[in-house]
Parts: sequence; structure tokens; C-alpha cells
Amino acid sequence: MNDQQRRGLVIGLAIAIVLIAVLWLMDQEQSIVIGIVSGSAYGLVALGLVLIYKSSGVFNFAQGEFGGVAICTLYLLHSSGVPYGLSVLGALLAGMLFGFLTERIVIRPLFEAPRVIVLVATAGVALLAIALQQWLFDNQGRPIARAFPQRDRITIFGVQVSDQRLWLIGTLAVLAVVLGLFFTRTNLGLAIIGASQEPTATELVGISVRRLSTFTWVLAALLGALAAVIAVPETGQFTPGVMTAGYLIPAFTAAVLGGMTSLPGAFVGGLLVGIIYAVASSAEIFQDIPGTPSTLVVFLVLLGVLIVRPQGLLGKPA
Amino acid sequence: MKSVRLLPLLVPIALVAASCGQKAGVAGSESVDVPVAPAPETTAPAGTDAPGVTSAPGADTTAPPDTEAPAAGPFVPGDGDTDGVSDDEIVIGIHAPVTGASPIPQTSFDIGKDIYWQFLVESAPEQLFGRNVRVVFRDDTFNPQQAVQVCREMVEDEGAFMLVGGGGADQITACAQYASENGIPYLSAGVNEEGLADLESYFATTLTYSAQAPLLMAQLQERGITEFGLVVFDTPSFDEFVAAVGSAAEEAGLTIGYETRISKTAAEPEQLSVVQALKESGMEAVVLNTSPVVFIGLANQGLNQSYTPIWMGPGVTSGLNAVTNFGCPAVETGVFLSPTPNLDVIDSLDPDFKTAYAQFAPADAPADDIGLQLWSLNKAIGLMLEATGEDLGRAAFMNTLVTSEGFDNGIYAPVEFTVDDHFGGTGAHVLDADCTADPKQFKTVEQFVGAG
Amino acid sequence: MAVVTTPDTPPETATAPPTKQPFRPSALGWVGRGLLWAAVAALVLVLPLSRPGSDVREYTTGACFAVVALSLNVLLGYVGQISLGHAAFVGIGAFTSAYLVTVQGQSFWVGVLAATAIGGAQALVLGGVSLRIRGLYFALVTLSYGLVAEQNIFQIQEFTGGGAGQRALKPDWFESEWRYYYLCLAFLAVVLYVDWRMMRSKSGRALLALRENPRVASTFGINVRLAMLFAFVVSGAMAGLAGALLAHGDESVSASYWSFSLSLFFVTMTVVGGLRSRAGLVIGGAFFALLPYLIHKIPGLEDLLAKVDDPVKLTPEYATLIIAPLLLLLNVIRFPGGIGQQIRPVQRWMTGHRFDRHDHGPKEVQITDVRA
Repeated sequence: MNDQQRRGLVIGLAIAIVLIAVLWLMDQEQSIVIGIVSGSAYGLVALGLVLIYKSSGVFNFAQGEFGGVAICTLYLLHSSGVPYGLSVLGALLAGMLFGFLTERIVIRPLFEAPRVIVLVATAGVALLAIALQQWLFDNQGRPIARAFPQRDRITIFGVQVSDQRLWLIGTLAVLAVVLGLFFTRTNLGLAIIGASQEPTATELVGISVRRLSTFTWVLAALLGALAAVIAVPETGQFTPGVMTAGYLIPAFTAAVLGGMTSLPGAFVGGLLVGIIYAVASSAEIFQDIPGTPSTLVVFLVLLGVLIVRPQGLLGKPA
Repeated sequence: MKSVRLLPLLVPIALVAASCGQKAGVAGSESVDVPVAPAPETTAPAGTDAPGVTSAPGADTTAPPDTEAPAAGPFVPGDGDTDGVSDDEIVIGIHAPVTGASPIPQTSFDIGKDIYWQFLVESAPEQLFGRNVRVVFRDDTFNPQQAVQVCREMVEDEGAFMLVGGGGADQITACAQYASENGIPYLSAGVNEEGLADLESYFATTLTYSAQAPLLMAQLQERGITEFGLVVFDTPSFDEFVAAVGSAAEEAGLTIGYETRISKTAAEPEQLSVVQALKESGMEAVVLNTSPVVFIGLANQGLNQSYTPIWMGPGVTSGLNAVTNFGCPAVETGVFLSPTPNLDVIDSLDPDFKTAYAQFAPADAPADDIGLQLWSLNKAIGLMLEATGEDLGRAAFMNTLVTSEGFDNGIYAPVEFTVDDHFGGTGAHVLDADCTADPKQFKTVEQFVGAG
Repeated sequence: MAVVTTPDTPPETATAPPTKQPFRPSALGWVGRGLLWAAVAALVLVLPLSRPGSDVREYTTGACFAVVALSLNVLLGYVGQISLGHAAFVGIGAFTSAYLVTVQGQSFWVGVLAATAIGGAQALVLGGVSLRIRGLYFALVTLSYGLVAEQNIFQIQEFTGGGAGQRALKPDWFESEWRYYYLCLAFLAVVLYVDWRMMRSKSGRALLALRENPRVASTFGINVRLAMLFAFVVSGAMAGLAGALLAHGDESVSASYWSFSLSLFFVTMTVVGGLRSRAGLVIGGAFFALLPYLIHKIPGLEDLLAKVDDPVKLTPEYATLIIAPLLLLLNVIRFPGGIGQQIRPVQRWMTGHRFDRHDHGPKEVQITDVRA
């Protein structure tokens, strides 16, 4: 960790402490818990975003729908009688397949294209996935069962945290650490970073840039699928496009906040964004904002971060 | 352009509009007998003026309709008065959200809109004086701007005689404004009153949200609740509902223990925060006016927090079986008012419904509650058309509405309009979610609960 | 001394270096071109006269969307910045005009002017604030801003009229659908002209240089900041104008219309139309606006789609939702120049050049080292 990142970490900790103190004083401690519990979903999606950005330099707008495909598959399998565990497996595989197809059909041909165009392409992929879901379900929602039935494993500040959520937070934490180490300590990880920065040189030393690209996209799709499969059942239902409408934009904000190039940053960013959402929706001072207060607050935070510290908390400056 | 709002399913309004059929019980012709529960008096719904019947001279309401004399009344035929009416056909235009937020399942709607007319033409064609009814349907994408567009299209392109609003208070208000500017009769289920009360050609066939507030208080009292929470969408059209609940609570001697507005696009953190606050306030019942999706979200979060109050609310969509289909087990404690009862009791009120479906609907499309809403609506419209007589025109139709004693199709509470009061609902049914039933559904626990 | 002449050189210019005669179409060629122009004119100007009012309303929307495509092109095509919140820019114009005309009682022309100005001003503010934010991050900012517009700004009741939206009636003299359509066409023509003049000027070329590589551009003395802001203002102004026209065309404006999906839709139609090709953009905008209408109208198409009954009937609305991103993907992957690129040979022919099937415009040099 270099100086910049160390500074970022300190800033992050400072913000966290200040936030918690303020919330305590305002008698809003439950917002912390609510924030962490919701934010972990954003963080997991953000992990996928950061992964793709580190390896392909792209903002992957389809990251949400990698999860969307997974959750639909989970529903379809489970409701036709397949045991839950197998359904989850099927869902993850479906997500990974979708990621694979996206990489092959859309991303590969656009290797040399401007990154903005690739962003547009991933948005197209997301739109297509959502349209298909809407058609498939006649735009109606569907129930989704949870993997872990116990809803009140622990209670913090009056907020019950279920097993499902604990799994989500746990998975996020473990993956953030594992992936972080992966990119800094393993050969494969370093190769991926190398390939994104110097594709020609990478090819010259005998590493197939194409294979790496496929690998990272499938991995990111797996992350997206995991996020959906663990987080969505907590809400008991899903509607077509929920992953993009409800999770993708907070996830992007989380990734920016934590640092688009930092996997641990995605974790931290996710939790922070969750807390920001929770506070913005419940704190008195924001309630006079016309419409949905949290939207405006998140916009200002995003703008603020990008102007003041564009690399986010833990990212590397460009 | 079709905009695709994905998250919130605001189906309630859709169905509310669908249920805006008139209950036409004018005169003897095949009115269904009034069911056992106390039939509502001809008192107008809360907040409106004199009780129903202002029989204008010439409007015959008890004898079989005099098909020749046009009803006298304030409406004067203008240009295009008989647009959409020909010797063989009457065209009705319905708009509702299929894409966009709060969509209704299109297949149910598509089939359901025609069943009653198919049945009527076969069993009692003289009721419509030999005319057929053609229903044109357009997707308003849950968007008021688009709603006005499709309403115009249905009138100008398809030649609709009258318009019906399938869902969405905002869409209904927008289209009703257009309709009134052009003298086109517009019917919908009751939603809000503001913005609609002064519109000349707008008619609400069922109780508005505000009118249902006293009924909700009564339901709370029946369940021994004295203090309740209130959660309503943060949108201007629902402001009046909040006020109505406030005054109804006061009158009934109940207190609102916790009150908040929630965003239409409330994401998980917001829903969780609201649930937390409700839980901490200890409210045993919560009155809600949101969309089904947000309701299910709140109910689920509540379940996660071991908080399961009675969730109660007005309107239709939250009381649809779709909600039990995808909200159980969290919505088990849901109790909702609805203009129509649910399928469990319909055979005793109108046995024709299921037989008509069996006869006219495709085999893989069984009768469902959306179909019932549409059936009831269409049946009421049928009674109104019959009452207007063979000389059908827009002005004559609307005159009939305001001068008739009421329209009772046996499924809705009787619908009564006066010249000054176009909010015609007089009662509702109470539906209670039953997640243990198979299939999961809402059960009708009380029928024809009167207003006031 | 004998002068060497090439066979193509006419004798008069024997001492000059060999030049090629500029291509001149033959008489038949002129006739052909004239007919095609006439056909286009008939389609755009004459056909609407025979269609019912509700159809013409769709055409008006098509014209307005063409303006939106041109506006988005200024950012995406000329400068290379993506806006994922363009619905906000257009929506602000729509509400401004509706508010001024309906609530304040101003005339339509004041409303349109104000909408254009406010559209430009709002873009200027957003652009100014985000000057330091590059490429992909800027996309996120616009996305977030689009949401703020839809969920906060357009919810301000005094300005936007509450849930059912704001009415915005057509101006006097243009109350009929047909007249309003021609009015919008006129505005479209004005916008096309402005766009054309702008790109021929120095400022226009500065914008294009920005797209290639901002750093290199600045070494040529181009004030990058100013050029960016200029692009923003122009884009925002065009968008605001389109918004006002849409508002009065629909006669109603409501907040929920201006959603994130609409912004993505705008991007789709601009990219598929073809960046930097005015003809392509106009066609792209109009085509996407008319897509559901076309599906309704092309005989048999709706029934064909309805045959797809499983799991749910494929209505024109669902079909549009699926077709649009498919076209976008197809476009981005295989036909990056969009419709504009495909029709370029025809376009060139119509303006008096030789018909060259392989003419796909000036070669684009992609500079790909700009990572965000």
C-alpha cells in the first residue's frame, strides 16, 4: 500500500468514525446497521465493476444483469421443483454463461474501440437482458425463497440481521480480500493487470490476452450472480430489471467512492454508500428535499468525490 | 416513447381503474339481487353532498327503461356526440399500464376486457339494442404524458365513444382532463378527488381513496386497534388521502402513532428504515397507500425484523391475488378494501362470471381477479348503456348517469351519481390475505361495507 | 520542347500538372437524383397531409427526437463525451416551456426561447462543474444527474404541476396537428443548419480535435475548457428546444417520462443513427421514435409478432424493448458508423457525386490510449 492509499485509508476511517458519532448523537444508530446490511449488496456488485475496470478499462453496465440472469434462473429452477442448492448452482452457472457470451460476442470485437463505445455496448447488453426478463414474466414480480431461513440471528441497535445477510457480508469481505490478494500476489492476477495496460507486451511473453479477458469477465459475472443470489432473496421478491434499477447505480457510486481500481475499496465503498442511503432516507434534515432525497444526496456525494479526490478512498491516482 | 420503469409495480391503480365499472342497477332489467350484507343506503360517499338521487324530470328510474325518451340533464350534445356509436357497434377505449411501473399482466387484461361483452351479446343482445361492444386497449406505460397520447389516439383514431382509465391516479387525472375538455365520458375506479372533482365528464365508479378512510377506521376498530401507523407515497396526489385519514381517525377516536411518506422509488435502505421506525413505534397496524411492490417490500422487511403488523389499505391493486402470489408469506397479515370481492364468493353474487369465462376464454386462461374487475366494470357500463336507451350519444349517456337512481350490478356496491357529485362509489368489500390457501389468494371477509 | 501530357488532361491545361475533372452527373443522373429528392420530400412533407392526426403526432415526435439525436451527437459524436442523463436536458426544456406557457401565461415563442436558454444554461453548469471529470466518470455523473432531475427537480410541484403533469397547449396558428408538424420540421431544419455551420467554423473543428485527443488539441492552442463548455451549451440548448417542442406536441409533460431508460434510449438512437452524420442522426431519431408505430402499421407485422405467444404475447411494446438494444449491439459491433455510414453512398450521390458503394466517410483514426 503506497502513501496515497494509506492517506485514503485514514480519510476513510475518519469519515466512518465521524459518521458513526454523528448518527449516535442523532439517535440514528440503526442507520449504520441498515447501511451496512444493504451496502454489502452494493459492495458485492461493485467488486465485479472494479474487477472489469481493472482488467478491461471498461465501466460494465451489464454487471447488474449478470445477477439478473442468475436470479431469474434461480426462480425458474426452484419453482419447477429443483432443490434450492442445485438451483443456486444453476443460477451461478447461468450468470457465468451470460458473462462468457457477453465477452465473446460484444467485448472481444470492441477490443480497440474507445472505452465510451464499450460502455454503450454493455448498456445495450443490460437493456436486452432486462427486456427479455420483462417479456418472460409479463413485467410482473416473482417471489424468491431464501437460502437460510433464520431471520434474527443477531440484533444490533434494534435491527435484526438474518443469516442470509450475514452470509452476504461474509462473502463480500472474503472475496474482497481474496481478490485483492489475487491481483497483487498471484501470477495470474498480475498478468491480468499487465494485459490491461500493455496488451502487446503481454502477448509477447506468451500470455493469451484473449483467454485472460474471458477469464475476468466470467469471474465478474460470477460475482454479479453471487450478489443477486444472496442479496435478492432477503427482500423476498424480484422484479424484472431490479438488479440494474436497484443495485447497479449505488454500486457504481460505491466503486467510485472506494476507488475504481481498488477491490478492498469496493467493499468499503459499498458499506459507505449503504449508510449514506440509509441516512438520506431517514434523517429529518433531508426530508424536505422534493422527491426522493437519497437520489440527490448520492449525486452530490458522487460529484464531490470526483472533484475532490477522483481516485476514491483507496484507489490509485490515474 | 415507452419509458421502462422497472422497480415499483404500482398495480393498485391499474385495477382500481379497471374496476371502475358503473354499477348500473337502473330498473328491473336483470339486476342482480342485492346480497345479504347490509346494502348501503343511497348516501353519497364521505365528503360529498346530498344523498344520491336527484331524479330530474323525465328520468325514469324504477320502471323498465324507457328506451325512447332521452334523459334530461345538464349535458348538451356537441360535435361528435355520436362518435363511436353506430348501429352495430359501440367503441370503448381503455388505457392501462402494461409496460412501465406498476404494470398489469397483459394476458389477463387482454382476455378479460372482452368476456363480458361476448357473454352479453350472446345471452341478452337486446340490452344493447343489437349493438356489439368493441373494446380498444392501449398501453399508457404508466406515464401521464403517454396516457393523454393514447387517449387521444383511441378517440381520434379508433373512434372511441367513451374512455376508461385502467390504472394509475396520475394517468387517470391526465386523461380525464383531456376527456373533459372534449366532452368525452371518462370512467375510472375511484382514486383521488383533487384534480378530478371539477371535471365535467369524469365519473368515478368506486370509492375514492379518501372516501375509504372511514371504512379503514371501522376495520381497525373491529380488530380492536386504537393506534396505528400511516405510510403513504410521497406524491402530491396522495396528500388528500393523508388528510382524509387524519380526519377519519379523529372522528373514530383513533390515533396515528407514527406517520411517514415513502418515495415511490424507495430502495431497500429506505424501506428498512421505515420498517425499523414502525417497529420501534410499536404500531400493531399500519395503513398504507403505496404500490404492491413497495407494500411487499415493506412486508418482507417487516418479516425480517419480526415485525408483522396488520397491513391495511384502500384501493384495488394491493388486494389482488398477484400480491399473494409473490408476497406470501410476508403479506399474510394484509387486509385491503376492494370494489369487487374476490373469486371465492363470486359464484354467489354472479354465477355468470365463471361460466362465461369457461365458455369464452381460451383453455389456458382461467378466470382470475383481474378478469373479475373487468367483468364488473363492463357489466356496470352495460347497465348504463342500457339505461341510456337506443338513442345513444355522449350527452345522453352522461345525463343518464347523473339522473339515474343508481346502477347496481351486484358485484360493486351500487354506483350513484348526481349532477354535482361524480364520485359514484358507495361501498367496498374487505379482502384478507390467506397464504395458507392453495392457490394463495385473498379471501373476501366482508361484503358491501358501506361508506358513512 | 514537347510537353508531356497525360491522356486525361484537356489540351488547354497541357502545361499544368494533370488534374482530374470534377465529377459531373449526366443529364440522366440529374433526373435520377431529382426524383429521389422529390421522393424524400414527398415522404416528409406531403405524406403527412393524408394521414390522421394521431399519426401526424407520431411524426412530430419523430422530428423532435431527431433534434435530440443531433443534440446528443454534439457531446457524443463531436466531443466524445457521453451523456447518460440526456433525458434531463430535454425534460428541463419541456417543463420550462410548459410552466411558462400554462402557469405564467407566456406565449409559445417565449416558452421555446426560454427552454432553449435554460437547457443551455443547465448544461453549462453541469459541464462547468464536471470539467475535471473525464470520460467514463463523467458518464456516471450524467447518469446520476439524470436521476436527480427525474426524482428531485421534476418533483418540485410549483414548477412541474404535481402528479398528472403540466399541460402545454399548442400555440395559436399551429393548433392543428399538421401545422405543428411543419413547425417542428422547420425547427429541425434550423437546428441542422446551425449544426452544419458550427462544424464548418473554427469552433467546430476545435471540438473534433478535442475528441481525438484533448492533450494534443491543447498544444494547438485550443482552449480545451472553453471548447468543452461551448459544446455543452450547444448540446443543452438543442435538447431544451426539443423538449419544448415535445411538450407542446404531446400537450402534457410529466416527470416520470424522463427516466433513465429514456436516456439510454436516446443514446441508442444516436449511436444507431450514426455519430457525426446528420442524415443518419435524423433518420435514427425518427426511426426509433416511430418504432412502435411502425410495428402497429406495417400490415401483418403485429400479427406475426403475436404468434409468439409463449410465454407471453409479444406486443409491439415488448418488441420495441427487445429490438432497440439488439440494433444497438449490432450497430456497435458490426456497423460502427450506424445508419449514417450505410446511407453515405446514397447521400453522396444525392448531392451530386459519383455513387461509390465503398465510400464510408473519412477514415476514423481511433486513439485508444485514453483510458477514462
